[in-house]
Amino acid sequence: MNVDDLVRAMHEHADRDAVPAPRQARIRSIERKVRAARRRRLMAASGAIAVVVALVLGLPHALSRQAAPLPATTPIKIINGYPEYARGGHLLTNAIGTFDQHLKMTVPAQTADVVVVVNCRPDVAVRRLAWFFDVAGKPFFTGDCARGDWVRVPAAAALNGTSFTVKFAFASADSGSHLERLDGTWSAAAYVMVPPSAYPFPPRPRHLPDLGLFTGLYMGPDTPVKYLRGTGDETMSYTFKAYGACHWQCLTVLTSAQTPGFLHIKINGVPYRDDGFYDYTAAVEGRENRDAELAIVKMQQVTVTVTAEGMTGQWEAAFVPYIVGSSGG
Amino acid sequence: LPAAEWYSLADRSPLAEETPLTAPPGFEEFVTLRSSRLLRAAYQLTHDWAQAEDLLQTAYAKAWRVWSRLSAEADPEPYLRKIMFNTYVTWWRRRWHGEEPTDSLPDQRHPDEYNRSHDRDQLWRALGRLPRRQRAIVVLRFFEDMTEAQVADVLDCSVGTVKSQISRALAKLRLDPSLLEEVAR
Repeated sequence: MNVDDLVRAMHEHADRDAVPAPRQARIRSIERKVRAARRRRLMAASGAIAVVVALVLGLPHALSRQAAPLPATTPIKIINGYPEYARGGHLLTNAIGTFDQHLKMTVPAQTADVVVVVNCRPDVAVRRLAWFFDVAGKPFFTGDCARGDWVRVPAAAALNGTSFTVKFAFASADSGSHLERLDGTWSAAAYVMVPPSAYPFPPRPRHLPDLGLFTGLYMGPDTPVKYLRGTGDETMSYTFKAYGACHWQCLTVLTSAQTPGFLHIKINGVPYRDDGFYDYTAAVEGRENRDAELAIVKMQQVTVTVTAEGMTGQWEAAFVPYIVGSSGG
Repeated sequence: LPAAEWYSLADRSPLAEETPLTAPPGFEEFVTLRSSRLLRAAYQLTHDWAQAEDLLQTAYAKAWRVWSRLSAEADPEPYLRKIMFNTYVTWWRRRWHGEEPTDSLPDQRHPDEYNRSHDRDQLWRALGRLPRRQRAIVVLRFFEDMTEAQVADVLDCSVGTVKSQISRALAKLRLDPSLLEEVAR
């Protein structure tokens, strides 16, 4: 055998059994690859920005507190720029789109709550970029791109076992209440909440951080602060009567926890729209939330319930109700 | 902010999945007219039509971004070929890493009139066992019928490297166990 045989062998095989793809199928496949490449570039850029922001925000904080080192986290796969597990959830879907596009997802039947996280980048620089989404036609949440909100969609709203669309709208909120339509790119991911036993929490450190971040919190003479403190999985509640009215964002909730797990908060039986997920960072940094939807009428009795799930250490929650006429309202 | 105002912004568009990309001018025509030849070359590299199609589409997707500059030149095909071969050579870390043709054909003696064809089959399989860079160089040199200088240009290496790689590739083919068996029989 010689080189001529080699050339002939190659041509014989190239002429044999050729199955070229139909033209349109090939074009569509190329488009998919182009989309995927764009997605990867955006994810890489988003990741780089996130790392820079984390370094800028986190490094001085870490240096000033000289906190005890946290245990190494369990390696978690990154899929298209999003970790497979995050904030107590398992990655369900992720997508990328321009500001005039929507996120379509199918939620498995009998699933738990869904958490949606959105990153956005406008084509022009704006001071504040707000976003909005609705779930299956119902307005659900408004957020701020700069804050990186993780929004919990309760299981009841998630239409288990069906496909639905999360519609986005992005607008510059620089001019106060006036919204200005913008162009840009978003990337979003949805996570299905999993039980604590199925979540890859980092290993428990030898020394747990102390709680008490909110001790001595003073919000004003007419604004009481109530504390709930517990250990492990237990349920505690706090009831107060509102002597005034409040129309939105009526309750600030401050929480911290020594160990990973969930703190499920209900206000008059309605789940609070925070994902409730905690890892070892909560005891060091604390968390603050205000539910945009919560309104309180005058003389209403309000019951706040905290249920710890998967917690093995101490946790605490401080509640600050904002009522018209009180300071900080 | 009132939901109605958000809705006026949100309801302006179709679903993300339904929005087609607009191909650059001349791109689709090029794909239609030139794919056949490039696909045959891709098949020489991958020895699998599905992977060849994937390799070709990947090269097209890479070319998409720079198509306006490419199409302004005389003929984009050499550049496409360059992308495709270099993608193949450098893509060994990905899905094709484990791809190795196997000798699964029954070990039978063939009538004399078929022996040459059988030998070329063995030669083809031995080609598939060459390292990727050597395989790419062999395909460019002997299938695409390029000069050593042209091969060097496509793969961004020196002519000396092309010569040495061809020499090593042919030596490996000559020493391939399956071909030695054929000679021994």
